[in-house]
Amino acid sequence: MTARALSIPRTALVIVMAIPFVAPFLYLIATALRTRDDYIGSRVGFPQELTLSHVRYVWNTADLGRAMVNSLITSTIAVAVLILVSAMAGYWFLRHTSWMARVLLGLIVSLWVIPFVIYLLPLFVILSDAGLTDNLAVLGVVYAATNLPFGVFFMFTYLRNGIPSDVFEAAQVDGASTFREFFWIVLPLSRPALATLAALGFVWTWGDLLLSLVMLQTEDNYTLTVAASAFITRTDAGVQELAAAALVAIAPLIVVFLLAQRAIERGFVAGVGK
Amino acid sequence: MTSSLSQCDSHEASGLANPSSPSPPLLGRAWCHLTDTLWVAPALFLVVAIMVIPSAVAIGHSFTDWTPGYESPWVGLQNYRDLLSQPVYHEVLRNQAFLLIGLPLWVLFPLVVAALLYERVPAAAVFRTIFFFPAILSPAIIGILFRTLLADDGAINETVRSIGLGFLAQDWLVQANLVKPTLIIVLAWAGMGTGVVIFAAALSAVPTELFDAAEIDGASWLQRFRYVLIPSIAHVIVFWAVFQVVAVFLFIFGWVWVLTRGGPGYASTTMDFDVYQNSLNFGFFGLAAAESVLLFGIVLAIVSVGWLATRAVRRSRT
Repeated sequence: MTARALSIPRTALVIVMAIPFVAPFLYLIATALRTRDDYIGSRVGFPQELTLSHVRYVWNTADLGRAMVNSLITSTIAVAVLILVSAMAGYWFLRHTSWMARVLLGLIVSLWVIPFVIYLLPLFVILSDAGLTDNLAVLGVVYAATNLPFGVFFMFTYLRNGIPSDVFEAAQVDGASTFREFFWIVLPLSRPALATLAALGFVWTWGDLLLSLVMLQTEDNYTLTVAASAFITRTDAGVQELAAAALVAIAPLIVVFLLAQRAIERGFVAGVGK
Repeated sequence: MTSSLSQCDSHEASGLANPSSPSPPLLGRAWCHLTDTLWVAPALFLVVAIMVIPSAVAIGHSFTDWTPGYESPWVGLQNYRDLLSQPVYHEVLRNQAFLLIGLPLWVLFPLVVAALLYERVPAAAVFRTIFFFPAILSPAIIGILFRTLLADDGAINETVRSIGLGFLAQDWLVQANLVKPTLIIVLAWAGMGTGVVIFAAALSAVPTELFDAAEIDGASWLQRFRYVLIPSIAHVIVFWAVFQVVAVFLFIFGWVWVLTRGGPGYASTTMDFDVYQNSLNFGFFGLAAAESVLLFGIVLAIVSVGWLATRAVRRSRT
């Protein structure tokens, strides 16, 4: 493998293409954190005077603190259910190679092509009749379910490609039960895949609006996206307040991204490399 | 293979009975198989209860004059006939087709970036992070930002005016002839990160000797891109293109809802947004159900064709 020469035109092209992916975030941060006078003076210029007053204002008026806790509860439940149920199902499909099991796996995986809008309303009616709407735990389970077609497929593929089958054979020679094998071998060995699935499940649940919007009725239960988007429609919300609301909604995702970017990329490499 | 993994009968390749092996007591085996299905039962229960049954209910109700909570009389194919005879629905279908014009952009942008990062670029990891971060943000969150960027007095127009190119300033989300092209660009932005990571992963499996040899032979960057890079990951490119087409039908709702609410008029109303609008805003539940069934059918057709195309490309390589 020869070391490739550094190419100036290519580097310049990458930088130019990166501008639209950096500039909006710089604008967002600047707009949310600068004083009103400073913003009016030059809207897209470099900020001179910083303030937290816009963030404080939206935090208090839109009750974003409570909304953030609600989003955390929903996302945590969604992630826990998603990774546990996906790993269990992936493990079952690893052990069952009959054509019926294969068809079942194919059916579950193919459910991702069902448009969300087709089952949204009937699901709401069913849950509403059972008194299960406006409930963060139920919402979390629903989010987990909508991500299961991906989760089951992902865990099955990882277990099949990422763990050598003689590990299982050795465990069986030792007389390990399915239960022990799952908790002592499968789960510890699939930690990278579980991290990837958890990160994806978290950002998908955290970011979704439609399902929360339909399933939650009382303001005390609003998730962050619902509370922030309800804030948009307020007539007194200016650009700076909107930017502050968006910044609050994005901040937790930045943390997750910094923690999990490597996990997600590792997951990709494990999936594609084999 | 994993034939010895079935715990109920270690001599049995699960599902395939081996007549020569002695059977354990029947009741014990049945019990074992029953408890064994508990591993897959939670997944099955959740997808059936939350996705399959409600979808079946919607399909059934597409043949009725559906009013949730009240009697819904059977009307046969009336909803479908009404839908297909509405000029508004024709506009929605045309919008959907128009958006597909963006497909070359959605494929080419991430492919070029992945190719540039694959060859030597300083701080490639930083660039990957920059391109990838937006991929984890949903339209509900990033849409707030885009609304302020694209507004008449928003940052994009302000920037354009401040550098003396004011004639380029437009009301991007309000002008009927601009809203769909704007949406195409926004979708290109949103899909970039995922595309780059998928193409980068595919490229990391390609031996660099291929590119080195081409470079030694005097191939320009463009030639290497066209004749080495594209053929070596053709199956991933086709897969990504199919995924993007499906995404235009499945995942566009959030952007339309946040940015335009389908407007101006119906100029940016997509199929999934129209289902939402017809049911939850206008109360035409039966019509919306029929519309969602048609959408489902289209997605199924695209996925089937795309699956065959990916398989054909994969086969032609080996």
